[in-house]
Amino acid sequence: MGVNAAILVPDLAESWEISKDGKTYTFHLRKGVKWHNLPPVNGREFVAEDVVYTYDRIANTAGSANAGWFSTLDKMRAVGKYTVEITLKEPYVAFLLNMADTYAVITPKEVVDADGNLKKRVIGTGPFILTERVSNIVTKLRRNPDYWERGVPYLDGIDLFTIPDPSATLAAFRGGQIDLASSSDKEEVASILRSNPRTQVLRRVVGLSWSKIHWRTDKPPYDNIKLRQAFSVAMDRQGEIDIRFGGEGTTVVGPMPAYPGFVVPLEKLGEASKFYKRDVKYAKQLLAEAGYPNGGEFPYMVANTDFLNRAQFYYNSLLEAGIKLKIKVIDFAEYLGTGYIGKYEGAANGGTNFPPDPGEFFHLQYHSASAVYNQSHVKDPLVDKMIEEQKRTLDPDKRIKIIQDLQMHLADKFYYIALPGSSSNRLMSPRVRGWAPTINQNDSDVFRYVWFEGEK
Amino acid sequence: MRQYVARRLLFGLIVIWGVSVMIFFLMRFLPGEAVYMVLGEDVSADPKLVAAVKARLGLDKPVHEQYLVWISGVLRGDMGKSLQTDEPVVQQILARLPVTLELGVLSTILGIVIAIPIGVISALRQDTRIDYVLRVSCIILLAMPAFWVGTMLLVFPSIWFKWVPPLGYTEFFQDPKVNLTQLAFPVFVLATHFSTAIMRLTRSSLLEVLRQDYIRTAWSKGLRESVVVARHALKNAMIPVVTVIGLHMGRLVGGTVLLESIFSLPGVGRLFLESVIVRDYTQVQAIVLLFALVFTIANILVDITYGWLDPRIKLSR
Repeated sequence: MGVNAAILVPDLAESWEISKDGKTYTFHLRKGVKWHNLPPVNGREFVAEDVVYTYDRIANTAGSANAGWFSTLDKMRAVGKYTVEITLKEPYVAFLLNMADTYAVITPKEVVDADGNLKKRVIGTGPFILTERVSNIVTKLRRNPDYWERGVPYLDGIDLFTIPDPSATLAAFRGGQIDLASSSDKEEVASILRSNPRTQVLRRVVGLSWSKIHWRTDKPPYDNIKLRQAFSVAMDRQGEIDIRFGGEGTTVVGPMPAYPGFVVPLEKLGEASKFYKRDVKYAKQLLAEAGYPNGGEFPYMVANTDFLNRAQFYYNSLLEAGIKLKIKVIDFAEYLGTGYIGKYEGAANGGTNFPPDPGEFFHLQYHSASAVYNQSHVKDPLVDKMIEEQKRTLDPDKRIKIIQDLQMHLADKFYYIALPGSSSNRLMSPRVRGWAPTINQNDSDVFRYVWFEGEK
Repeated sequence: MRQYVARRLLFGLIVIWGVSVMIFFLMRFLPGEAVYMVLGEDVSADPKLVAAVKARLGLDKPVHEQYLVWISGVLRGDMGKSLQTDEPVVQQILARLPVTLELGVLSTILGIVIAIPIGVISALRQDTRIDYVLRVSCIILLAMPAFWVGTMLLVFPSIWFKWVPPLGYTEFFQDPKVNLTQLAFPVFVLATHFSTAIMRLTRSSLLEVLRQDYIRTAWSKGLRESVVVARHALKNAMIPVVTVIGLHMGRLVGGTVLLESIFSLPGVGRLFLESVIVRDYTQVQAIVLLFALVFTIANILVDITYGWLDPRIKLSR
């Protein structure tokens, strides 16, 4: 299955059914799909056993990162060559979305048997075959002549270069060496369009983003809800969009990324919406109510990547309300070992990952039993209850309602503060046609349907 | 002479050993644990998984024990495996070495070829207009940071001519034209920086030597300028210059790291930077040892050159 705009698209699984009780999934696989013609798999047919093998490996290998997807697994079997039947002990609404995740890709048993792992060879069933990879330098892909979808891909190959310097990337783009590049800088894009007006620019405002401030809500000073609210009211989100993102961006509202179909917009947040508008006077008042009538200094740890720039930006707007940030800058590697896994004091900002399903998201970030990703150490029994309830709710409308209630409940608590999402621009040389992005936080490209027309 | 070289090699080994200790402990004092960089951001940092990976990589042992494990491997010729790829670190280094080697060698040669003639001219025509022009240009070049000049050399041709050097690295013997185009700019930047220091020293050193009595004798003998300089003055003037060339090889190493990143060249310098960022201890250690080795050998060669330049310097004590 492929994921695009959070809609499931049939890929290796042509169709599927879910039983009425939500516990049994039956996948009907596409016939005649072949693995890439590389040893040790050598182009044999893709069958149901491959799926069972892959999922079993994810579920049962020691130290498997995504074993949690199969935590409710009861039994799983291949029925014939083209059907897979999976039964869960209890309904798990996000199960299908998890199966469409990047890490749920089907892997061939022969490679694992021969190499012991999947690190040395990449063999799949997709439109492109990996022919060369020099770590951090270049990845080369070539057309798969036996791809199941007739006629595609159109491209003969793709070379993905890792270019450490952003100026060098744009220079290479201008020089016609590369066909795809990205830029968040409005000025840069304008400059490129001036030198070659035929450049194609796909402007995307990143709606689905989750760059957040997290803090120890279980200890002083951030266990104080009024303080957290003061932060939110004092921050100049629109200012960041105007100044740092050239006016293009979204103020990510509320406690959840803007999952389409699930998100509650600012206007509907009711009472809590007042906390999302900048108001220095109100912020000072909240600060006083929190016990800091004369303002105060508050610890804040930040990884020294773009997050540091953002912190420096917000420092000023917060200072105006009397909140002085004691910024501690750390290496990104250090952040991964501390703030990212919840082992820190005070507040921190860094990391932007989130799963495709809102239920999963809430579970990871807000559930008290979530060990690592609940970086703010949230312990709210009502939140726990609602998260568990939506997990079991099969009726999609009822589930949406629970998730929206969750947002309403969390809207004024600020266990996390989400920072605005920036815009990103995908630059394409004039000859590229048919390119499309997938909407996930990795900004992946879909090259299957790309072709060239005209000159570079 | 042989004794001399042997003694220098011994000292060199001690230096390299000292470097190995320093880099080993320095890397581990860097905040941020290597194991999390290996696991990555997507993976749930289940404590059992973390412990298992740590044990597999040998990172759970006390630091001095880790050092002994590593150094005993090195003495047997095993530099260890990359924490990121599990492949022997030597593999990656060897794959990337040709780029850095070519970059370094070409820069050194070009740097010397630029610096010495200019330094000589400057000294011989001291205080004339050409001397001032050369010295001021030298200072301007020295003042401009290498990474800035490099970036400008990439950005402006791309805007004015819609041209950049071909991406990547093509071996010289595969296609010399492409190869030299790829390396032209970074070599130019490195060479100019390398040459500025040497140029000034050549000039001042030559001026010193030219004031000596034996040079005056040569003049009074009626010899032509070119003979005086080339046969009598230059060799002695070169002694401090050669020293500095040896010392500046270290700067060259730093330069390759920067410029390989800017010009997207798959060299060892860039590998070094990437490895530090992801805390790939083994990879970093191997590269640093390599640099230390190169540096040591370069300086031993410099010392040997003294003997050739000035027979008065007795190499054996």
